[in-house]
Amino acid sequence: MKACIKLLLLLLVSVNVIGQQNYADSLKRVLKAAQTDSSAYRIQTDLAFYYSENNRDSALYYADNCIMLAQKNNKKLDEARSLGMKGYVLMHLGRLPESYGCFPTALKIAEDPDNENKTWSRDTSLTPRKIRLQVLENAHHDFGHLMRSIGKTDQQIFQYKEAKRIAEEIGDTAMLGFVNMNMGSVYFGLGKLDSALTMEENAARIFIQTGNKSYLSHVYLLTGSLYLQKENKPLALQYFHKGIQSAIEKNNITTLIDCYFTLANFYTTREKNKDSCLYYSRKALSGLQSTGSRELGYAYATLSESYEMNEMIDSAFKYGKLAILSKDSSYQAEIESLTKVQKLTFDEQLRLQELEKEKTATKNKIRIYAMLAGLGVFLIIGFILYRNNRQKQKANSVLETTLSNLKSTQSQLVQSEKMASLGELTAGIAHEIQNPLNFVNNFAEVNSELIGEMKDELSKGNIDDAKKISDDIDENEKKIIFHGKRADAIVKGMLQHSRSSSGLKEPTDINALADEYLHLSYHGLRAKDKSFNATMKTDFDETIGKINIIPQDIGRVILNLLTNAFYVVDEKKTLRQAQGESLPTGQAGYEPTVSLSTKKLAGKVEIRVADNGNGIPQKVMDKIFQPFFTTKPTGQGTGLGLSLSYDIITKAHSGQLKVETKEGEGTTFIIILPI
Amino acid sequence: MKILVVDDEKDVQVLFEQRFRKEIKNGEMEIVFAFSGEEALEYMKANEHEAVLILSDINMPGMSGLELLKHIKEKYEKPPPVVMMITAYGDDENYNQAMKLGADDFLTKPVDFISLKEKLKTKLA
Repeated sequence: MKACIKLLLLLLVSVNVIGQQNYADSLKRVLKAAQTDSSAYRIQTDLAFYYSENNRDSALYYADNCIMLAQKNNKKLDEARSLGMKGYVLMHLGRLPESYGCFPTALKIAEDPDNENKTWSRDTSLTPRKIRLQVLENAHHDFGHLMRSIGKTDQQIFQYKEAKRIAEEIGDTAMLGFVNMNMGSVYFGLGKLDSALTMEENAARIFIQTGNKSYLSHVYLLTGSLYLQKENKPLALQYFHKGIQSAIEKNNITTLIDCYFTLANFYTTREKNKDSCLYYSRKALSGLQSTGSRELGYAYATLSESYEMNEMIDSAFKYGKLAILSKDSSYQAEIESLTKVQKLTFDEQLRLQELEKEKTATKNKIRIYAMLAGLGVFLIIGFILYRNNRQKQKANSVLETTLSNLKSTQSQLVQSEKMASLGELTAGIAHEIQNPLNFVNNFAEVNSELIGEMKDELSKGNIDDAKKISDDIDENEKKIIFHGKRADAIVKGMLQHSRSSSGLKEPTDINALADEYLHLSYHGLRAKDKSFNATMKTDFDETIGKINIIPQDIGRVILNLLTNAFYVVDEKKTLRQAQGESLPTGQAGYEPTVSLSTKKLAGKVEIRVADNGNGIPQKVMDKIFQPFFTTKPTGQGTGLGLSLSYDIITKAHSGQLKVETKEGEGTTFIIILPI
Repeated sequence: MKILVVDDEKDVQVLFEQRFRKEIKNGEMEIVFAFSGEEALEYMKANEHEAVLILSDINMPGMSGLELLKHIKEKYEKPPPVVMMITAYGDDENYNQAMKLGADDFLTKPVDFISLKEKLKTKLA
């Protein structure tokens, strides 16, 4: 059995097809004529493949040439391909350390996608990626063979699996066939017969399907051997004969000889069939001799055994002697190889010790460097932190200055907003006060006239007329008082508005406050725009009584809302007139109206300021309470009015400021104050 | 002489009646009152060409005095009634606008009735 496996292992072959001698000669002729590195590389690659199974020294020579050419032209991928070939050849030459040196480089190159276009290969049926992966899978495959040679079965399986994985990815069925075949062989060696059998069945199926039958014979031979191991002699024999048939058909001499050996062995050791064992032993020997092999010892031994069985002592003796002789030479070769391996091992140990020393030295060096680097990093970090801190401090002081600037600007703006509305009011009031003054002055003058008249009548003794006149005087006096008070209220309102807010809540008659500011704002606008007119409607809930608010602040809010309301109704009116509304205003046309109402609700008071302007467009609705947002032309509004109002209501009074609007129909602002 | 006084403040009526009490008593003057521009127009429509002089305030809710002026000067061409504006807002802009619209005079509040009487006399002489 051991001999059998040994034989099978010898059969691990590369994927090359054995050609004919004149093929090689013609290649050499072409090589002489080759002018470019590219063609020289291609021809020598073919030559290396050609010689890889029958003249490995030559194969090595051409492989080296290929590597040189590829390196010279930076054709990395071709270098990897040739390195794989060289590794394969070196392995078969028994130069395992050198072989081992080839594959890691080849794999590293083939794994790098950057090398995809670094090749002379111009196979347009394959993408650059597929070409690279083919090189990679071949390297893994051949590396797997090498792992077997140095007895690392797990590594061997790993490399084959890698080759298989890539082959599946790029759909390389040929490689899948080979991988299955070789994996089956590995499992055979491990005694996993069923797995091995499945693999070989897969391999056979793939080879038949693809028509790539060069190694089908080898698969049959392995399958037969597996059945023999499973004691299924009829099936085993059937496969051995199929193997012979396929090997002859495809001119696979190596496998053919192996089939003969296997059968010879089978008939010698198992069946004790004299004729058959002699027949196959002879066939094996002549086959081997035809290939010019020098390692005939095993064939001689087998034949000698067969003759012995046939009681042909002379012949048995002759071949026995030959077997011993060649075994001697093969022993010698084996000893030589062993010495080499021992030397290799010793060198390896020395190299490892050297490496270990170097490693330790490097480690120490690294440790020192690391410490120095660490120290440096700490210093740098420290410096950076120090700098950051300083910059932060600087930035902080800049920020503080900016903040205080901003704060003062803000308070200035608030003040200017206040002054702006105050300015509007003052102008209005200065004029508006003339209306009551008109009555006060003229009634006073009339009264002094009337008193004169009354005195005349009295001196005439016309008591009745004098009484009549005195009634008029009395009535006029009441009017003087009334309009005097009116003037007083206007001035007081102005003063109250200009006075800075006490910030204190006090019981306030919200209706009176609202009414006062309604007039203030109306007058303010009239002062600014002579043609301005609007209808004012009020609806005050008299049941409210006094509520606790900061009167100046709430007054400012109401004033602001009213001013806005008057502004929008006036704007709408102007717009309508510009659009050519021919009807005189006040008749069937648009009547600008502003309504102010108060209402007592459960736990709160509601103040509504409504206008029938054009409403607030939806797109600016969410901005109206933002500071500095204004729809008025530049210079006409500070954009702070509603923002300040919002703060006064929501922050200082814990109330709500809501808005309802309908485009084209008007807007209502609703102040809700908790009681 | 019939005078139409237009003002939104009701007390204006008492004031005028008191200040022109002698003229009214003597039958020199007849004063009618309208408390808005609209009311003034209605009165003029109903009593065509009766009022020969109109005294109007400018700042009034609804139709303003200037609008009323414009209306009168556009519609009542012959004979054009005399329209005098009386306003608390006696600035240049207001004045110029009133003049542009064809106002015959421009008085500011508080009204100086002595000068008003003189003006009425010259205007209607």
